[in-house]
Amino acid sequence: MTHRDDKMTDGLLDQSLEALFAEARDEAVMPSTALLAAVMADAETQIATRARQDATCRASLRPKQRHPMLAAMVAALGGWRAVAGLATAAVTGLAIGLGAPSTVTNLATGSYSESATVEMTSAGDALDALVPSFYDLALEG
Amino acid sequence: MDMPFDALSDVSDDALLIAFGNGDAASARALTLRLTPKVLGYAARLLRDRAEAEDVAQEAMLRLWKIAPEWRQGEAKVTTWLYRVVTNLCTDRLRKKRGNALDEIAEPEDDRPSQEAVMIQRERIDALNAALATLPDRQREAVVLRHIEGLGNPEIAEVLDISVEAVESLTARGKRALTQALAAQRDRLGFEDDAS
Repeated sequence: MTHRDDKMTDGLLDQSLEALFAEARDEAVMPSTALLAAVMADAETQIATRARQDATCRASLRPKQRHPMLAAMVAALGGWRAVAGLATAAVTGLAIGLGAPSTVTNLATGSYSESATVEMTSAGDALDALVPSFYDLALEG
Repeated sequence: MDMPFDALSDVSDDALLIAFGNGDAASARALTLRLTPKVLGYAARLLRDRAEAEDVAQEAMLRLWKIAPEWRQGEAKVTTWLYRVVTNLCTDRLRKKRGNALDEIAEPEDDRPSQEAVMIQRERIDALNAALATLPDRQREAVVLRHIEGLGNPEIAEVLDISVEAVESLTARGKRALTQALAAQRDRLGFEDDAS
């Protein structure tokens, strides 16, 4: 009988416990305005921090600015395309100079003028004297 | 829980968190209004100290803001993640309070002023909270998550990082201990009246 009473008491207590849980569920723990404001402030700080980090990251990825003097020179010459053209012409001139045939060398050193004078005097053909080197080149093949 | 001013009430927690991670302040506001009461309520039940619970709630929400950019939709439930953070933060605080005697069952706190002047319901809930405080940490966390926060056993298992069977065992033992703790006060709390 005592055991049965204990079981009944336990059952009643269990039901009461469930009722208590339900009351606790219904009791809303409302945050204060200060807490909500603090949480929102933290969120805004995080947004600002991330924006700063993103800006720093983007700045580090951007190509670095060239020296202003060099940039001014390039601009004065007409931009990078013009500078590229000038460089190509310079290299081509150098290559022609280095790899010149002997006739061009003769022309440059003035040895042609002596032979031309001889030919002019011997042949008396002024027109032929104008292009002697190309004629020689053609003969050489 | 109905939250006023939550203009984005139809949007999931996941989606709001990802939007916040992309710099949307309106999503942060919606999440603040939606989740802070849950976090605060759970922390208050574990700690029984409003000021400390507010500190924990703010810290947990700050951790949520920090993890937002890495959050992937569908990988985890935001509330589950938050309950886990709050559980850990509260455990740390309770551990500091108790020193080395982590699992020692605390005596029910009885240092509150007489509740005779306040509503009976308030007294009953205070009694429940006092009884909850007598439970070991894990039992209390499982009982609060199951019976007050309304989580399912699998979700509680995820929060507490234990098996579902362990959750069932914890909640069953916790309820038994609560029943015993409240039995002595049943006349004062009007338990017989409820049951009849």
